[in-house]
Amino acid sequence: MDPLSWMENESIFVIREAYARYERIAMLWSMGKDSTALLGMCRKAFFGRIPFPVIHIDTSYKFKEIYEFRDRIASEWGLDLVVCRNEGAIATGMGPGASDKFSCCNALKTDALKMAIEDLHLDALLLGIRRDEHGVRAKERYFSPRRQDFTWNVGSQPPELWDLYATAEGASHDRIHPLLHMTERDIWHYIRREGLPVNPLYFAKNGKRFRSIGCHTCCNPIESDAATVDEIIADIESSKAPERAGRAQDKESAYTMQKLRSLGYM
Amino acid sequence: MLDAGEKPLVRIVMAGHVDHGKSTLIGRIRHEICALADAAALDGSVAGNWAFSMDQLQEERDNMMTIDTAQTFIDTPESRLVFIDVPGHQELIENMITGATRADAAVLVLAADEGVKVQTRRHTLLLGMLGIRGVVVAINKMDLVGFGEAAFRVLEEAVTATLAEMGVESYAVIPIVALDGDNVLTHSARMPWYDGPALLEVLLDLEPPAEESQVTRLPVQDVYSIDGETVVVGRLLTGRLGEGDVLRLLPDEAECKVTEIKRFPADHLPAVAGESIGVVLSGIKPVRGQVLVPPGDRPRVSTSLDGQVFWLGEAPLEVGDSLVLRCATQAHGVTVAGITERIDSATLDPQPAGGALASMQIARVLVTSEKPMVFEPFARIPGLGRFVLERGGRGVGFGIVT
Repeated sequence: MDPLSWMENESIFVIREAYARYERIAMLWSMGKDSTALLGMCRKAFFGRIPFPVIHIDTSYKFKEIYEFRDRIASEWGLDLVVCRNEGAIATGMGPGASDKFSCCNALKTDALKMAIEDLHLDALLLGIRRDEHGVRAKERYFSPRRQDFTWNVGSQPPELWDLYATAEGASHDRIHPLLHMTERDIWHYIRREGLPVNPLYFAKNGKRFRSIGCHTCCNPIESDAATVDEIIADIESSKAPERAGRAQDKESAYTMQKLRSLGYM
Repeated sequence: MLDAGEKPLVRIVMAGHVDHGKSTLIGRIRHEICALADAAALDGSVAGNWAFSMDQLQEERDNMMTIDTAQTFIDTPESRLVFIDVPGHQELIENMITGATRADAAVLVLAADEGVKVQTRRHTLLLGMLGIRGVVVAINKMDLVGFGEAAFRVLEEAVTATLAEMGVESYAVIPIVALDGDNVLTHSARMPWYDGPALLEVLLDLEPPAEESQVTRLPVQDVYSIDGETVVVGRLLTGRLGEGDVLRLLPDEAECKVTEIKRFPADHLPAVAGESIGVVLSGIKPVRGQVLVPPGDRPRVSTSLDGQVFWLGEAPLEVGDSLVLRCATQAHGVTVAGITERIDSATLDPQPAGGALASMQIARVLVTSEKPMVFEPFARIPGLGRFVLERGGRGVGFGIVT
């Protein structure tokens, strides 16, 4: 079996394992390349119809292309789309201009996610994070428990042996990470092979494109002329810059990602 | 350059005693292969302090010690290497094993100024127990022994003896300085007496593990109802499966025929080992945990299982204890019926008969269940020969069927 197929089968095994082991499960979809690849794998795992809600954590600051892409794919693939926003924080003016980025991510993403998990009574959540995105994500487990206060204690994670996943008692919910073993490059090769839809923000316009997408306020485009998936792959393979170089929240201060994630960030 | 989909993928765990240079070696390899320059520009603390490319937690950097396992991906023109860093501290053995169970090969890192230490021995034993073939030994910090050949030969002899004692074979023993890159990617001018390969030369020659067995084994992961049709899903551990094949469902012994291999989108092609597939079966409705096998060649089906167990739990394991045993997609409530041949996992010293199994000890453990379990020797079908013991939803021990 070629490595890309091996990765896909590994991911589908994790997705099905989570579905078999938890009562109430949902998937987080940001409309970015990774979670869209995860969505494609979920369709394969369940033969075309995803049997759980697909959640979008909406900060209200997303690019308009993200909303358009979401609504188009949700309709084409018949998704049970649930949009969650921290309306209280948005109403009081929380935003990247009104606050530091750490507080903004924490309020509009992490807190909105907590509300979604409580509202839907979820005991597990599928997310498209990958180990090669960030050094702190490199330490994740496939099945990763969150404590009752939603925090992640990275220093004392339970052991995870082979693919015999444990589901800890006493956790508020478990985060399931089926794409941990894939790199940015693998995701693009997979998107090309599977013909998955791609958010137009990834394609170059006027010599610039986005390599990682989120809120329009905190994402900076990179210099690139890549206007097709093939060109994006060539672009990544010749680049040495890190994938999340354009993401402001990672760089605000040392260990921001660790702090955000320990409080429940994706 | 080969397409990412075609390049062989090999996962390599860095094993060895605390502070012998595992994280530093991975960081240095990254630096040499990827020219870490851009990343170093973003985070100046990594330059020259290679361990920080893996140790990204604040606690890890403050204490200069890896706490949790991490993985990093390195593409070379010929292959894809995944490096798995693990902690070398005894208290963090769970995190070491978490990393090691995902590896195809290992580099055992040994500091020249300290030699074979407790975790060197324990990690070597674990590599053997986990069935990791292909261990390369890196004798690190050669600068601290003056780059001398005589010192290297003494260490080489000691580590080779340790490997032999634990039943593990090594491809090569290489003198290196991880911090400066000597013999990591290229030959070091500071050790002209060494005429063997550089570490990366050996690692790039490693091949992904070959398929273990041709015998078909499909543990039932779940059963879906898709448009009114019952579809059994699971990952084919070994062998192949095609439409029309006759299978036996264990432990029930019911016989059935594969009427359809189901994928999305549909293609009806035979399934190969490692594939997560769906199958439509005639005449039976399986449940999760059962195993589909060909009629002639079967695993063991029994209410008692005897395996070599490595214990991780804080509270020791005693005869009469109740736990959950997880093997493939099975989860069985089991009771411990016997603990024999108890040894210390680092010294291999036998422990007094009749005692409880303490953390980091190994023993033969006999467990019994109410319902029959399906398993077979680890050496034959790894996926049906390894198991985890859980208490309260947390892994407290693991074992292999011999």
